[in-house]
Amino acid sequence: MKKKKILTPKIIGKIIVAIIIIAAFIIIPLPGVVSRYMLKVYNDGLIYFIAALGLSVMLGMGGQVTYSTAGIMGVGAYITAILSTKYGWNTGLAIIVALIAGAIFSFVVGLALFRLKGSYFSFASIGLTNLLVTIFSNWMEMTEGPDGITRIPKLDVGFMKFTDFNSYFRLLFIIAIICYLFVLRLRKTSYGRALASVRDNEITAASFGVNCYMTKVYSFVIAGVFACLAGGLYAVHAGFISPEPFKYDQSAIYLIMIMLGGVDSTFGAFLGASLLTIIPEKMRWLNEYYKLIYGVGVIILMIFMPMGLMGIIDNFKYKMIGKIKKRKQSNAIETEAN
Amino acid sequence: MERVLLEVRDVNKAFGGVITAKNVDMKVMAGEIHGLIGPNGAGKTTLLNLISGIYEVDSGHIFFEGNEITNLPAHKRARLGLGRTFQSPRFMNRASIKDNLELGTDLRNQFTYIQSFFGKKGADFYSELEELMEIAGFTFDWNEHITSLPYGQQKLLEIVRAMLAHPTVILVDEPAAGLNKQEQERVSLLLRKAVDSGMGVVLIEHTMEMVMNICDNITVLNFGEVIAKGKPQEIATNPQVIEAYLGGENDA
Ligand SMILES: Nc1ncnc2c1ncn2[C@@H]1O[C@H](COP(=O)(O)OP(=O)(O)OP(=O)(O)O)[C@@H](O)[C@H]1O
Ligand SMILES: [Mg+2]
Repeated sequence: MKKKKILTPKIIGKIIVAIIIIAAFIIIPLPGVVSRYMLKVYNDGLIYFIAALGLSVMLGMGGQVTYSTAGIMGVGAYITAILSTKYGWNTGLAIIVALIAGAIFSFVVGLALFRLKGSYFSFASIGLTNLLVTIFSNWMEMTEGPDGITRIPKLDVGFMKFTDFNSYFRLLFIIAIICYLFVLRLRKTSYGRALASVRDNEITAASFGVNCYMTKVYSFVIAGVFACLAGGLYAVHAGFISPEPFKYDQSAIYLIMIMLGGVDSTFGAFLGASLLTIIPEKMRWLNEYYKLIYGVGVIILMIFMPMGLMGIIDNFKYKMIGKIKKRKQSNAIETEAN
Repeated sequence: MERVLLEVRDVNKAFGGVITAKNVDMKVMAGEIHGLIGPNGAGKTTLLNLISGIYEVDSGHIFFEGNEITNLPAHKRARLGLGRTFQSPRFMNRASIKDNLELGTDLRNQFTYIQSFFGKKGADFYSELEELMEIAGFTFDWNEHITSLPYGQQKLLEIVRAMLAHPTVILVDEPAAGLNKQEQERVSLLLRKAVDSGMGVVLIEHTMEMVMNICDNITVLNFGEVIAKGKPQEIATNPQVIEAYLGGENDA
């Protein structure tokens, strides 16, 4: 009789990952574990991760290169900030409104932008971000222009307030995990397959009943809602926003996060966001050389690992599995011979 | 009783100065394998693209199960039951075999994305897949990448994927090109299986032996024009057809 194995390597792996996640959730925000400054960096990293996850749906699953992530994050941030400072709204409610507005905005803009294909779409998305930044910088009565909006209250969801970085870390952590699970699930649905088929070949996709245009628009909406969520969470975390972090070059950094992590992997978005948040902090001593090294790094990345870090890990895994399979086969042949 | 599944009526199409369809008429019946042959560049693939909606006609009409579909976009035609394969196999190359096959079952189920997100399950297609793979004559681990399959198996699997969607008509573009004798035999068996279950098949093929063996009717194109139609025996002896093939590059 065959013994049923309960602890397969896969399950053991999952248990280990779960333990690491829970440990991080509990330990990192404990007083004295990391400095207040680093905790803020981690919080920013989680926020970037949420925005990057939305982009991974568009870029990784759908193959659509967009430079609008930061701009749309700005939409979420500014709506949250304006509602909570100028109109005295509760911040939790302001973020929810920002999400709904972000969804509608992305839908309408997506309908227009996806009239264009491929790199034409990408160029138009640069225009979109520049347009948004122009509004953030010039609509003085609402956005306070380049000076930005100050004194944004901390997040308040009615029964709970998140006034310190520690409790906010835990909240961001939970939101990030929910977003992560959402994207993982999406990959396994007919929508995930539709997006992948659009990425690989629009003619094949259409021949299998996929409405390529709307499929792309929906991916823009998903990315937009994630970006607005990240923007709202950013505004109440920083307490201050200006047009600066929502500019086009920041959008490019989100693209690099996804490509560094690996376009085919949801976990890659986490790797990319973490590395691009932590590395700049650790390399401050390089001063002006930092940008130089960064630029060279991106070029090397694109040449030598087009599928990112997860691509390298997967390749390694395939090779190992291949070896194990071969060994099993040769074992089987040996036993047969016996 | 014969039922017309697909009708092309007086269709015209030109690319710049190149006329690729000129007053083309064609009817495909339920349970029929309809051969579409002609020399290279005759406009066979173009006609398939016009039928499936990849290209728009310049003039003329296309009817599917009695309804006009001339102005429907490609994805809507697919949802109505027009399936197809491609001259060179087109899969999602970065995805697993399973994901690629599920593109076919998704088309069959036609669930909304929301339904799919919340885990609505379609009919189990595994037994059906097993049956089709029995005919196709090979097995695979469906978690493997699609690109791990050799070319011939990819071409066979493309037909299987189209059939999993349960179309009413399948348009098949040169399924046997580049395959060995056994694999060609498997292609014929799969197409037979399709028509036996009531589908109609439009088959573009250069392998004359296969065309003559399995087609019920044949339409011959040359320079975008229908130069002959009829039973395989009639086509084989038609002087205009022989002329067209001998006049162009010899493929027969
Ligand atoms: N999108 C297009 N733009 C311009 N010309 C095209 C286009 N598609 C096809 N053609 C032209 O139309 C003609 C018919 O091409 P088509 O691919 O339909 O031929 P075919 O009968 O399928 O040939 P083959 O047996 O080689 O596959 C060719 O001259 C081709 O160059
Ligand atoms: Mg062709």
